[in-house]
Amino acid sequence: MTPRWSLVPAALAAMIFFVKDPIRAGGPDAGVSSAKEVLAWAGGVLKKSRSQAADGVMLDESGNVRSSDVRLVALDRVGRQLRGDNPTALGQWSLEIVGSLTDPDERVIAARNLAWSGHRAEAAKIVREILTTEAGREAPSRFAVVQAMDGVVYLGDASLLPEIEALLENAEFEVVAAQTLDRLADAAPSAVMTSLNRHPTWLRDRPMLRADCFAKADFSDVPQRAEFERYLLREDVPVSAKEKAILGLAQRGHILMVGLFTGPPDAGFPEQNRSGTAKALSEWLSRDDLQTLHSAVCECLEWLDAN
Amino acid sequence: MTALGRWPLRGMAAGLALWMGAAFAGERYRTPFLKAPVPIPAPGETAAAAAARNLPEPLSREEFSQSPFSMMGKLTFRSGAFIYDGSATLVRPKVALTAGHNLWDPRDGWSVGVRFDRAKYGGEEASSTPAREIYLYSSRYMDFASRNPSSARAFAWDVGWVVFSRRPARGKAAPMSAAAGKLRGAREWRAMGYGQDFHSGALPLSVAPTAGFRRVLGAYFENATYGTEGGMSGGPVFVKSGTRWVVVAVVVSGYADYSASGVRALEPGLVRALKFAR
Repeated sequence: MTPRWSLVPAALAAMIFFVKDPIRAGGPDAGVSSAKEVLAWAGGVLKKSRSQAADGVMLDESGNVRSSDVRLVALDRVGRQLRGDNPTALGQWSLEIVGSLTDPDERVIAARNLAWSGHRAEAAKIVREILTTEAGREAPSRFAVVQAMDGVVYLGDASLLPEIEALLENAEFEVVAAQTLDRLADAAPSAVMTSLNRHPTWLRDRPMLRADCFAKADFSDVPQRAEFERYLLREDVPVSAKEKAILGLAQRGHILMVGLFTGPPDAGFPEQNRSGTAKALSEWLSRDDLQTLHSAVCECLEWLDAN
Repeated sequence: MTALGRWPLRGMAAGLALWMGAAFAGERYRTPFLKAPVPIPAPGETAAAAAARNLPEPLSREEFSQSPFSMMGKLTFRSGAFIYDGSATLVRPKVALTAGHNLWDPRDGWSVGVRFDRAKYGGEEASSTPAREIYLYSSRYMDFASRNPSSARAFAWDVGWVVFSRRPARGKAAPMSAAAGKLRGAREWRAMGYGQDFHSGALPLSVAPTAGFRRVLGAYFENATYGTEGGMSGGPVFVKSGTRWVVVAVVVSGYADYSASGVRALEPGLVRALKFAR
């Protein structure tokens, strides 16, 4: 008998309610067993046909998965429950089941659960696989690829920059990839700047987006200022891009996104050290090797002064 | 549909802008560069019918001086090689809401030199305030994001805001509501902004939709009862709620023949995120 669809979310919520106590009170084994129970029930519910269209699987405003596929919702909700009550069980359960999951949407949620339980390397492996294999398919799951990019931000993993750069050339994912790049630079500015300076060909075709990554620099951190200055002295970077990186210091941009890994934006960004920025800019005015950039430096100082 | 905010203003020779216009506009935002003397008729439509369209008109100085309309202003910014005009509205003492495409695009990244001239009317403005930080609210609708910037999938995430160090209206701001339902039904609305297709861009324009909006995708709604001009992107859509006007959406797109317009509705998540704006 096909369940009435409207009853399924309520039934799922009820199941999770009943396993809450064993999850909280029991050890990892009890948590894993409860999670398996819920997922087995969800797997037994007849799936509604799930389209690969953009609205097939979505997040609500709190970052919860919304889908007609109850297994996806169960993976998400159980992961959330275990994260708070029994993170060891979340890791154990996720490691146990991830090998058997083939659906990209299920795999990205499992990767999220792994990342949340501290298994970052395993999570990064799945994220990388989705960004390369799944994104290259003829009809990829948008949800899986977009949320895998959110995973890159959560993990702060600059080694995934080439995968993000490749997606900038994919019409389906260009916008999200460009935003992921910016969010990653916000999350891990030092790692991103170091990687970009170490690999000059990375983002060569997107010099303005690369410039924005450097505009995230916090000059109160000496290594970050050094990376920024190294970028300004690079001969392969167009002057217009360097100018943009400098001007971006005066009006820093941030992207807020509700993501599977990162959730809804729940905190502001750290206050920029504007006096440290102004000090560095003033010092550059006396440097001959940065002379071509002096007009941008002056303009940036004016904007900083006006604020 | 076209995005309306990226209107090149100055800094480049007009001739260069016009020369670049066709290719640049065609590839990206298709914002009209040339001022058309009359609305462009849709296929099969007469010039008279096109001229009878519901298009924005300048607000009188008296009407514009009323709050919350006076919380609107012109947004100027630089993106790539051009300087552009858009519109924005002060919704918190130090925060102005605008269209996302005024602030960021996937090729040139963040706009720079962002400045808000509140209550600009002709050659005067109540205040001119540089941005301190800029935010793009991608929201959960990022799943829709598309390379084609003139698609519903792009407009679904098209909202952001500008944060100032100073208070452009001495602590005042327009009230806002995250109730998309207010875009439907029989209500009184006003879409506003600094249009530059048939006007100079120096005066605040206003147009009143005569019927409710239709949800297209996510938070993106369209309305075929009015047109908007280039430069109005980021302007507010007010709805009359009781006796007061409340911002419920942001102008983000318009049809090239001025036969319809699109807005990005506010949502609870966005209003919550605005709390983080310092």
